Amino acid sequence: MHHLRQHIPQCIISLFLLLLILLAHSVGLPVAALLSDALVRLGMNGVLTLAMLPMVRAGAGLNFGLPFGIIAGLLGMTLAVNFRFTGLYGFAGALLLSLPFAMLLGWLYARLLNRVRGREEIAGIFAGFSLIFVMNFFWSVAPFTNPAMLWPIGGQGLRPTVNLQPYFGKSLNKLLLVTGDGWQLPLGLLAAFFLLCAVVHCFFRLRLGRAMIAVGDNEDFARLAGVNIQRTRTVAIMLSTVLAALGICFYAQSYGFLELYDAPLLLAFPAASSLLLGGYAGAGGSVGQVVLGTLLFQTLYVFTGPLANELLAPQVSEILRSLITNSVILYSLFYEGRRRRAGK
Amino acid sequence: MEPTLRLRNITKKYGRHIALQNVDLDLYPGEIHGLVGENGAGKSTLLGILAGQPEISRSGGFSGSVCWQGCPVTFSSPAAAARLGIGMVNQDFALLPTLTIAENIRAGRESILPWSRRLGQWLACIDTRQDLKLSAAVLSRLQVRADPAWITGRLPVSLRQFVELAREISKSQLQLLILDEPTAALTPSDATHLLSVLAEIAADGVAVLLVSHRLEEITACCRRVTVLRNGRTVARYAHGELNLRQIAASMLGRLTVESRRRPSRASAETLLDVSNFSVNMSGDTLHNLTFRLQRGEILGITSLPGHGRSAVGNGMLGLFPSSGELKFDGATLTPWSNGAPNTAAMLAAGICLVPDDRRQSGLLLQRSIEENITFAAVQQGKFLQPRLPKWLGWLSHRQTAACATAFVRQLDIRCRDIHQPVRELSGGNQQKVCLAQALALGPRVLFLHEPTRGVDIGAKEMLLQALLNLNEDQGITLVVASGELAELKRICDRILVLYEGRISAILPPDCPEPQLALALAGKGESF
Amino acid sequence: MPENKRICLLFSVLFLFGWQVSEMSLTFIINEVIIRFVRDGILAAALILPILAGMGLNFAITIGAICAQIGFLLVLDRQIGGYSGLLLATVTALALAVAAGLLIGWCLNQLRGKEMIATMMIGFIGTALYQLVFMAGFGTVITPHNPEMILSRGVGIRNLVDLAPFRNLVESIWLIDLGPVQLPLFMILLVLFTCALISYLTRTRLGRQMRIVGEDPDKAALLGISPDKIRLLAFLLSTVVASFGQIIFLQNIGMINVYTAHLNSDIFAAAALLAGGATLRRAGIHNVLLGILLFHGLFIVSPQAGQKLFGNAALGEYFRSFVAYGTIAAALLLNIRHAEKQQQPTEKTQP
Repeated sequence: MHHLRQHIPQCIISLFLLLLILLAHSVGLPVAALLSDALVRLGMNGVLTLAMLPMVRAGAGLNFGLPFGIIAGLLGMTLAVNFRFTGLYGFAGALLLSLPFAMLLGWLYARLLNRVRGREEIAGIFAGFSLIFVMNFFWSVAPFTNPAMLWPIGGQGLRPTVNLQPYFGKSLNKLLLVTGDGWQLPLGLLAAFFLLCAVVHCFFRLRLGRAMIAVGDNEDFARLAGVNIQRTRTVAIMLSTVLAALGICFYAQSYGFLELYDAPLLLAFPAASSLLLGGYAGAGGSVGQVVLGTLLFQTLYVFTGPLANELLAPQVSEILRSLITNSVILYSLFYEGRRRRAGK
Repeated sequence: MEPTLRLRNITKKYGRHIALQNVDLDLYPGEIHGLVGENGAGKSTLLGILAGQPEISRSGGFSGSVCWQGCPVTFSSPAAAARLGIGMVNQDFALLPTLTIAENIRAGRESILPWSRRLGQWLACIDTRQDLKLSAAVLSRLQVRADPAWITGRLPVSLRQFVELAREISKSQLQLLILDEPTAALTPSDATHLLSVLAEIAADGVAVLLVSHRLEEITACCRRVTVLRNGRTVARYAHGELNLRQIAASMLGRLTVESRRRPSRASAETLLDVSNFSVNMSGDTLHNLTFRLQRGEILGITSLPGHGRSAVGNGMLGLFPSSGELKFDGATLTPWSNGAPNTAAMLAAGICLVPDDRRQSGLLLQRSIEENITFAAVQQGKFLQPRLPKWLGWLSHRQTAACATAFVRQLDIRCRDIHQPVRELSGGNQQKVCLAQALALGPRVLFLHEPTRGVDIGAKEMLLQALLNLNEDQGITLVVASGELAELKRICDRILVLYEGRISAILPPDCPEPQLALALAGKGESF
Repeated sequence: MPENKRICLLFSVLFLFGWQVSEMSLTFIINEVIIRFVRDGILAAALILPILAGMGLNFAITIGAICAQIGFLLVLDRQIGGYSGLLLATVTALALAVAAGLLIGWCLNQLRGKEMIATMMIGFIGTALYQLVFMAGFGTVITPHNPEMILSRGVGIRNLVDLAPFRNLVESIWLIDLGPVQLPLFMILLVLFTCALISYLTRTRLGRQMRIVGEDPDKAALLGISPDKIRLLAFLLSTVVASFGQIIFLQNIGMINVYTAHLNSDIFAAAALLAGGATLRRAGIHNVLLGILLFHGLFIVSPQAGQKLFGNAALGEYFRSFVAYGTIAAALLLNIRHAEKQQQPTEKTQP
């Protein structure tokens, strides 16, 4: 009974998804192409969902401060574009360049969150939002020199959207790309994503990863075993931030455009929602849930778009997506709260 | 005279656990009745029933009859209990820290301005001035010098206790006043003041139920005393028969087991030299403890609860701030330095702890037996893959599994396999997993807190035997902190008795019962 | 100095600095502040009761705002103008707000401890549902009566709907022209009256019960107060007040941005309240009054200041967004830390 209720969202979403696929088929949408699109979006968004995992496991809540990592990734990518890095190596360069920023911002973020034990999520949301607006400031005055990134008039300040195609956009998507009749399978992208998943999975089998899990499960236990709680949490939050930085790089290269300014404002919510859809419910959290959740969420995403446009008014798909994202988060809060009350 | 409250055959079960069994209690107007017992003896449950705490009905209610001034009643909620005239002064200060004293005293019964009365109970405007005046009157009746407009959270603890008392006695319908450890946070002079106030309240015809661990208070001011142990009433004393030693002994159980385990093998060599060791742990402080732990001995530490028996181990492992000097095998150790714990250093030196509250701090309930047993050892750098660099921390599952399997066999942990989650095990087996976890660290000194609490009789014997084996076969020095005197007498070489965080006596295990009881009550002489 | 006072001071300094840099005239600023006080005052005041009841900032006041918009849109759809229309819109909005408030309150009672995130999510979900109904529902499921409001394709309401039938119905009452400064006395009094009503509520037994529940729901239960009921009531009142506030807001602007007008009402109201020195545990009407002055004063001057300082008005825009979110973030950080400190027993004696 307990387990069944925990999986209500997955059941509903899966049924809904099935319905959507049938509906799409009946109105003549190319189902195979849409499904392959969902796989592409798994590679595109998966790493951002993965960035939820270390913090969740260390008991620091869902990483709603994802913008900290995202900003680091954006900084790495803008630098890479400014240096005119191209191709796969360019992408790797962008990843590498974003690492130091991610470490630094992650450390700052960890310091913030260690002050607000137990209320990390709401604090993370607003700290992330604030950072985005600070960076808006930065984007509009930063001394970048590549004119492709700058406003055509005046030559100062970055554009809200930078085309990555001449640099490293889609470089990973095109790697080992298998195409068929209307569908495509970016094996390279998926392999890179699963490689990251495997790394994270293995990390939790290491000594430090084990300590992180223990800190999340039972701080008293961890303390008695000689674990430095503060440091372990800091490492977990930094790791989440680094993954978020890599995640936005994956996202942007797959999208082909670099979106600055307010664009990443609400990116944390779909990522959190994906993890929750994968079956995370207040405790635990695994790489499997990340993959399953992201796949479910993105399949939903690709199917709602054309269907909503076909059946209802345009623009409705965005609303539907926001509805689904936030309902899943609210349901999980609801479920968690009820369980806490019952356990009390 | 009609008793204010008459309880008959009160039985309360939490699932299979019996918290109270056939408890009887009569409280008469004008008497101060003492209620004493160990932690977990059922006092809190009994008070919970009297206060109508929702926790009680939520966990299935209780059986037995309750008569209030001759009429059978049920306490459905705290509000209902308060309406009957029961006042409760809690251990954990049921005061609201950001409100003023007056607001706290009048909470839920605020005076209202006359003109706003017709707006109804909820929308009537509060008459702050009237509340201040009424509160000041009550405070002066308690002879407490405090301005009712002060913020409660900034008051010293002792004053807060009096505010709470003021809140209760200002209720006009008060018939029964229940106090749970009212003097625990008070200085001796404040405590005396409180007790004299209690006597006055009782003189007005109010029945007072006083719960306290300070037995001399109980003997000094109570007319009658009821002792609870393991959920049963084990003794009742009337005014003439109040005797400190007897009460202490009946609280902790009969000391029937007199057999010694073996001739002591402890060498005269000092392993751990503790001097001026103080631990700042809320509810269980330790002051300037000085003793020597000998290599290979089993040392028992006991005291009444709250007198420091759990602070020794917790302080030693750096779980709470401590000061003082520790010499372990010649090397100096500091469990707490610069405001941060040094737990890892203590573990590395070979000092380990099996905590008392295993579900709270001893186990990762969701994880496997293997992970629980090896976790601390892994964190200390054991069981890592030898071919990989150590900083990577790659676990060797062959080694951890071997270690877990060995301990499962050695301690006879009943389980499906080593991958079974610990939450599925019984209490005794969980305790063994806790023990195995500490043993996996290869300890030289092992602190055990209440090793047999919540463990059934059969498993208890096996656990005690396991402890003896560890000591004899592996030469591990054990320090057992427990309230179970019979068990301590069975396994220990020496028993250290604490009173108010200081050593009251160090006794041999075969010491006579009265001597032990005296030591527990703070009247022992070091031996 | 307590941290909340420091936030006040910081805002004052920033405002004065921005004003100096922007070189705006005092009368302009006064006029603007009066307008913003009328528009946003009640919305900020709507946050007070949930804060007292210990649930932090109620980001679900957007739901109240949505109710107000629905009220207006339905009345416009039926083409009822004048005072009767305005009254009908208000009554519809408040009735919807009562229903929504009950629902939100019930929801939040299920998830103690994470109310703030939950109210945010509820706000997002409410927005999505509302947009869905008015974007796709009107013209398909619901038959529109006023073709002027409908998009040319026949489905969905226009982005911008004019409130012409209600314009200047109440603003013009007791409008005092003091030369350069326009003083809509009736509107100001209306806002002040609502604030006073809330202020009175905090002084009643109900208000005291909210404070007790906010302090510690378990202890409140021991005193015979039902925490769930009080919390429900706090949210109900908050939503209703917010809905009334949005009616005034829209009425004052004179048109509805159908899909976006309510979006940032929660953030700006919260930031204004916090700028006025409120904390997540304690807030009063004086915080609203001071906060609106400081926060919106800063809001008015910052684009111009950005233009003058950096030659880029967008920077001022970013700055004010940052100020709005940053204030809330700072309040969260400071308050949670403060709450933790308070949990430890203090031995300090009252001076």
